[in-house]
Amino acid sequence: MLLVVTYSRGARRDLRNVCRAHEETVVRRFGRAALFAATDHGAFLACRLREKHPDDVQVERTRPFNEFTDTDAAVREAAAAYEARDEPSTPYRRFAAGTDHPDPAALKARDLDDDR
Amino acid sequence: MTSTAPGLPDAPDARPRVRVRLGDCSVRGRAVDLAARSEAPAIAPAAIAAAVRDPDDDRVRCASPGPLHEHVGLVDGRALPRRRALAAAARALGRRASNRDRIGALEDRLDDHDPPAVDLRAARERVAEAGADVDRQRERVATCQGRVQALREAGADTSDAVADLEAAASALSEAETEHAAAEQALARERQRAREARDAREHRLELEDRLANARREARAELAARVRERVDAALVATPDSSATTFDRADPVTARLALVRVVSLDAPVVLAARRFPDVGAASDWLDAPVIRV
Repeated sequence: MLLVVTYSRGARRDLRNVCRAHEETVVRRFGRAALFAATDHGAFLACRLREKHPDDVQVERTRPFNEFTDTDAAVREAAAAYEARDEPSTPYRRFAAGTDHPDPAALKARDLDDDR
Repeated sequence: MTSTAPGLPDAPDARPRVRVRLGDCSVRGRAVDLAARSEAPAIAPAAIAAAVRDPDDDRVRCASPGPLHEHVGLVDGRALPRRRALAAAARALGRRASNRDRIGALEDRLDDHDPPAVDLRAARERVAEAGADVDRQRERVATCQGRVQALREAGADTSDAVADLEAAASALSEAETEHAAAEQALARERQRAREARDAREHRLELEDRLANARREARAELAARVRERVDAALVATPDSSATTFDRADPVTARLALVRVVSLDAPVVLAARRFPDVGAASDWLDAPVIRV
């Protein structure tokens, strides 16, 4: 899908108008952002907004996230284990120390690459 | 308002006047009735009102209109943004909102805000073109390889074809280098854009706060004149309205003009007064009737 984020009042107003006029292509609306369907019409609407507000419209292409294909089991398991921790105030860094869970620096250093 | 008391005999009338010149027709006075002038060329009420507001438009000479004039300068049935008009009337009467210092401070901060540009179009386009070039060069290499292969199988001389293949391979390598450079440049631009967007996001917050503060100011100012305007409204000819918000646009505009007493002329498109002089007296403003 296309994530459209606006950074000025004019761009936000135009995004709102586009969302109102094209419900079939707008998958979801947030305050000053929206998700457009990944169709030529979604691209057309995003390009129009960007054409009108080149500096104030950000468009990113998104896709569904599948934690079973897009990342390693270690990441999933770390997330599950951390959410099940006994002590809610334990920061992840301390939680991971001395375990097999990846430390925060390792998590940040690794990109989700396209073909994983 | 600078008017002297009307009705004093022989008192020089120092109240603001108007001069309208349309084609060969030239009229001066406090109340100008273009509708009664058969020699005056037809002109749209909105055009006359625009001429009132345009200091360079010679067709109307008059005192310069204030911000309220935009709302009431043309008295007709167009929709009227009620609260804005009331707030403009309050300002014309010298009222100031209590949050005006905050508004000024926000305006200053916004003026100082000049976020860098974030248009990444050129960088995106460069990546696309470089990618397309890589595809083209790759196809060319494949074609050359095919030709060398075919010549070899036929036992023919491959030297020219091999030279072509080498040239194609070299061009492909260059295209790939350019593609990688373009990708890197785009990545750098995206990083820079992130910071610029932080600045733009901050500016948007300031703009929202300023808009909210102005809205509050308008609400406060409107509340402070509403009673006076309602009182004028009840006295407006041909109207049964009792509150500003429910009055028709013509009545609402007339009431505002009466409360504020403009120096610049109002253009009357509606007929609510027996004649233009009566309108001018009731409104205490110069009037042009079309």
